[in-house]
Order: sequence, then structure tokens, then C-alpha cells
Amino acid sequence: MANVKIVIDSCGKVTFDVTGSSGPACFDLTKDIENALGSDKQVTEKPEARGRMKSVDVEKRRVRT
Amino acid sequence: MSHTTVVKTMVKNLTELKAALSILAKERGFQYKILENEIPKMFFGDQYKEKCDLVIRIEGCRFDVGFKYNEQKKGYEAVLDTFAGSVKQYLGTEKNSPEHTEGENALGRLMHLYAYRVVTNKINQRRMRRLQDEEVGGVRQLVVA
Repeated sequence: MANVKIVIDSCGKVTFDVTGSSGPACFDLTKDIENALGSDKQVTEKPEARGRMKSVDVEKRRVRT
Repeated sequence: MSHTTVVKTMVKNLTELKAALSILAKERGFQYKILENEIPKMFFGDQYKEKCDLVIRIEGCRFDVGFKYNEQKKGYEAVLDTFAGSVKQYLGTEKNSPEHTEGENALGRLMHLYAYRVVTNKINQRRMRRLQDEEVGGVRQLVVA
């Protein structure tokens, strides 16, 4: 199950840290809140998310060969 | 995918801004007025000549704070005079945050409370469970599932 850690700093800048989620649903989880706050945002995928993407790519290549 | 997003908060909802201001006024014990379509008062009389959608006028504060809608950014931009920290003592952070500008620090506490209201409203609308919600040193941390 996905957990979202939300930190609001002393000037109102908000950081969302989503863990335990896979696929685009993870982005849907916070998109609504992020859009209500503003459009000036930076998104960084976590290393484990990139790791999962790589393993999917490997599986696709295996299927093709 | 697990990810981290950082959002610089912009005022998009004036009702929530007014609610945050009301909380802050009780917290710090000041009186204020909300004006509409007024030119915010600054150090020089002709310093800023445009009318703002909403103007906060605080009793005892030398300058006003205006919020003017920006069509491109789809939100309200704050207009204020930061001179002598007059606005900051009512609406700003307790301590200066070096990663933020002087203007952001001057409105820090107001923007913090505004962001908290927007976030918690959305959490409640989406019926997410709040596992943690605490404020330490002006920084609020929530964990939701």
C-alpha cells in the first residue's frame, strides 16, 4: 500500500514523498493535491522506481529474443 | 513509481487564504481588514499603482499585502513591501529561512498555513487516512495512506 509523506516547510513549500507504489497510479495519488498548490514543481523518481523500470525492459527484451 | 515532488505553493484559492489569515491572526493576536480591488499601501505612495484582487490591511503594520491574479500562472501573486520587516512580524516566519527569498519569508507563516489547509482539504476529499500530523519548529509533517 502506498504511503505519502508530506512536509510543509516554514514558507509553505511542500514536498511529497511517495513510497510503496508502482505504476502511474502513484502519480495520480498526489497530482490533485499538487495542482491545487501550484504549477512550479519538480518531480524526482526514486532509485527503486528506476530499478523496476530496468527489470521490465530486460523482460521485454527476453520476450523478443 | 515511488517519487518525490517539491511544489512551490502559489495562492489559487482566496477563501482558503482568508481562512489561513484568520487562524494566523488568532495565533499572533492581530486585527486586520480584507479589502478588494484596492492598491496596497507601501513605503512610497506611488510605489505600486495597480489594484489587487485582495488586500490584507493589518492594524499596526506599516504596509499592506496585495494578491493579484496572474492569468499565465493561474494563481494570485503577492505584492508587498518587505522594508524593515514590518509585514514579516505579522505574517512571516519565526526564523529566516535562507533557502527562501525575503518576500517568501515575509509571508512564510501565512503561506505555510494556507498550504496546510489546501493539503488537508484534499486529503479529506480523497478519504485518505492520516497516520501522522505534527508540527515541529514551523515545519509540518504528515503521513497519509
